[in-house]
Amino acid sequence: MGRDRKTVTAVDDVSLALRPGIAHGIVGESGCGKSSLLDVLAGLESVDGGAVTYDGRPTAEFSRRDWMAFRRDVQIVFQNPFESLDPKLTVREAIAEPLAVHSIDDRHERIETAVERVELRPVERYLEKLPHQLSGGERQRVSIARALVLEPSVLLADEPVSMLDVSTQANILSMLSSLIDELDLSVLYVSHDISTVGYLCDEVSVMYLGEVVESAPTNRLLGEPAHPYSRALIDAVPIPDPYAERERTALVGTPDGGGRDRTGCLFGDRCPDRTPACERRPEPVALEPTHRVSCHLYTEEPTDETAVRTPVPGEHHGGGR
Amino acid sequence: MVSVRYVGSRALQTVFLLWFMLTFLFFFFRLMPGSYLDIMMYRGADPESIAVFKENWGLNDPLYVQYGRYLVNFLGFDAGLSVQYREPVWDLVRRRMFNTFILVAPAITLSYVVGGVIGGLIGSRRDSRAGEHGLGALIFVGSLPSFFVGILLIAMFSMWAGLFPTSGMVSPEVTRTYRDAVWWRPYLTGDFAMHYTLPFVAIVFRYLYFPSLIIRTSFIDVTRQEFNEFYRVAGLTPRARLRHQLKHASLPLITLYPLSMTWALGGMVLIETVFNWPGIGQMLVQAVLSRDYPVIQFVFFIIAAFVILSNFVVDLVYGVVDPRISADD
Amino acid sequence: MTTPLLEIDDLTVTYRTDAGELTAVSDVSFCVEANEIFGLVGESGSGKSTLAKAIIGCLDRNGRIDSGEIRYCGTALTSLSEERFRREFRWNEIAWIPQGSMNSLDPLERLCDQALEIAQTHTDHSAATVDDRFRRAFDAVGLQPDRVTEYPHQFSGGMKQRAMIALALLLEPSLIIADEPTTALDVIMQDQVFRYLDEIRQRTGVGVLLITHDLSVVMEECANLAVLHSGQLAEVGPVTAIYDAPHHPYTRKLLGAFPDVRDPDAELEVLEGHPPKITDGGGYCTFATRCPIATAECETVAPTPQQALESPSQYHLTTCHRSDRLFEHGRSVRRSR
Repeated sequence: MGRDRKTVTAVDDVSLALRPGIAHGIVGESGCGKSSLLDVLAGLESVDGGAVTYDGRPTAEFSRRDWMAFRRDVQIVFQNPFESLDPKLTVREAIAEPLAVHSIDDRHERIETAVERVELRPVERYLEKLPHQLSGGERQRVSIARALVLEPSVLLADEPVSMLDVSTQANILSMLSSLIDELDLSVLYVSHDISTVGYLCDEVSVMYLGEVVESAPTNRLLGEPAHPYSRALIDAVPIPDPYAERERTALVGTPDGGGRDRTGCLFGDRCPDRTPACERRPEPVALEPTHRVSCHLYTEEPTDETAVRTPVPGEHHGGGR
Repeated sequence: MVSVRYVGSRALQTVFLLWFMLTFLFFFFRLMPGSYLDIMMYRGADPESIAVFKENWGLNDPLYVQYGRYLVNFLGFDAGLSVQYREPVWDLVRRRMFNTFILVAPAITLSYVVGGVIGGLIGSRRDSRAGEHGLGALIFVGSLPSFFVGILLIAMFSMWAGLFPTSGMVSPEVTRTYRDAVWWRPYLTGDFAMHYTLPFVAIVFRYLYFPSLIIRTSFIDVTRQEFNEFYRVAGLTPRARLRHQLKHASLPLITLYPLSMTWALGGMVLIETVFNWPGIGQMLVQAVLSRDYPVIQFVFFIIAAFVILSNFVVDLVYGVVDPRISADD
Repeated sequence: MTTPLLEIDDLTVTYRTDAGELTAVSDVSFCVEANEIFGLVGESGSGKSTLAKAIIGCLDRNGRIDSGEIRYCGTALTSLSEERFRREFRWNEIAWIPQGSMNSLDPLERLCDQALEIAQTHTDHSAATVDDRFRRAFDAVGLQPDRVTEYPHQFSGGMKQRAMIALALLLEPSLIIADEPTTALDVIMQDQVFRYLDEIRQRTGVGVLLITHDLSVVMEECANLAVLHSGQLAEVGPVTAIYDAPHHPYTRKLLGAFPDVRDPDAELEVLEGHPPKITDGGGYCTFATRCPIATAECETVAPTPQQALESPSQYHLTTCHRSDRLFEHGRSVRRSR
């Protein structure tokens, strides 16, 4: 109270493409704009500039009918399976709901296929259950089945495993992974945990305060992260190995984007490698055709002597193995 | 915390709502079919006396002139004359409002205190039989119509047991005795207290179930919140923990207390009729029957103003008790 | 030998439920030493939170300790009167960082008032002393000391978590029970929280019982760990010993189920099913139904803890009928890096 409403730039100048059969990961801390990006892609939020194109057509030109088709083709799986399922609906009813919305017949068969796909077997044992009779992992499977029952081509997943036990996470991740291949799905997978992203996704974009600071194929990004923020995210992930000597993250605080001035590098205030050049906004540079990074460490023409720093690929983790 | 800005914006809203209500009521009653004039005509008044009436009451002026006049007068505590009694509305209504208020306000307050305790007890024993029975009894009481409760009390305590007078506010002797004393002198008599008891009990009894049920639900809700476990593990005494729970559980009452009060004011017609209590409810019924617009308008406005002002107060109190409220916008 | 900070000795905890007597913790024993972070690992439903609540004497109304003992610095907590336990031990000696700390703080009270009330319940410190201590604790967990006068809703999730840690430090306890302290946080925040926790341990020598489902965190933060499955202790020992040679099939599966950023292409071990609820008193291995190498014996006889074969550690126990068999080809089964 007593504060003025400010405009917060949640997603800024982000470009990415989803392709069939490919899982694209978005990683970043809480408050880095991941979920807002997902809302934009799902058509839940409008954009101030730029366009979302689907099947070659910008969504801005969509008619009501196009939107109907779009909403059928693009499905979302939410983070919290305890909240996203109606506690009063059985598994069958929950999955039937989207079919009813889109007036699709032969529901029985479709529901069973969907439940089968998310590996809730035997199917009959699950159909009449209520959410409270299911474990967290089973609930999340039901949410996924609910999304899959419309046979979408795009799946937007918002931290789908972060609320689950790690043992269950592995199950869901490997199931998602095989579904992507089997159904030729395009998946956008949003998470703060780069290790699950690494497991599932073919390519990754690292987001900070609404901006994609680096994007690359997963192995490349995990192996040779270029942006200091990507490195920080990777370094912060605990390694299930008592011998690994991981450095603690040097980052302090949290991303603070509340209506701030967006002229300099957004990560500048927390960056361990900051230079005077960071007063300006860095332009994306292609280190490889598929590996792009927005950081002054990699810009061609440094404005200042101190800004010159040759990045050593794979420098981090060097002593950790 | 409550900032000046928050108070200011709520105050502005409140003033606007009061003006809006006043205006709405004015035009509503002017534009509604069936006025005092119709009743005069129905009773066979001749066109001349109707013309005189219109002239005297300024009904020939355009509506906006009438409205302006009403507004200006209103600000000077003049709500016009009662068409029925040809007396200023304010004089007519003042005493009756007071009569109603001294009955309703303490009764509702007591029902909240007693209801809070009952609700807390039932809520803290929700798994036991006592809790279930208590809940059942409450719902039963809540479903009784208020006139029924009134008649029951009269039958039991005044007709059968003969303990209290059946109706009225003070006995005629008392009225006579204090004819020349200050207007509030009769309220200090034992006779008044005797008359007061039964309607008071009827209201407490009638409105008890509401705060009880709210506190019960709210208490159950609160005991499920995670801070309870924190306080328990932190080693706070059971007493201290209960104190925190009660603070949380009573939050909804801050909103509901003035609401109940208004609700009871509206429902007073029945209680006042049963006990023949000279309150505002009875007066309102008469005024409606005889299309006495100035009176109806004013009473409606007073009730609305009560709701609006109490909501303003609730917002302020909430801002102090629950720091989350005023922080959001 | 010195007395350990916390000893859990053959502890069994049951709940009365509509479905019958639920055995949540069954014959569990382990020790936590001062100045160590001890990891207690298990899935949801493994009984790890029940164990934590049993230690601090705050089981739900339908739960009770059936047998066994919990000793704190040699004092049997299980035979203390409730009043003495509450006044002398809770928060004063044993503090607790609850699961989902973000919702555990009282939303209606300023943080400093919550601290003051807790402090005055257990000590006769003056308000000024408490305030001073709380500000220092805030500083220790990387929060601005001036913010002690704020309400919980004015903090972000990670900050509330750290405020809770500050509260836990307030009375300088010897043991902190941290129940999933970072599960709701992102990785960077998690790393920050553990950094503070570790700094505090080094400075004050506090013992920490870290309860989590995240084995990677335990591998990094802890010296010793215990793995719990459906109330039974599967394995207990030093993290290095367990990592090098897991002697229980459950531990082995868990170790393989974690994605490792160093090796994103590795296949993850899939653990089917959930820890079963034990409503028949047990008397068998609770992992038998999920175990790839279970035999008839596993379903009829409860295994007892025994020293793990060929382990480098003296204190590496496994509760598995088949651990010798498992160990024969143990090293080859383990995920290679």
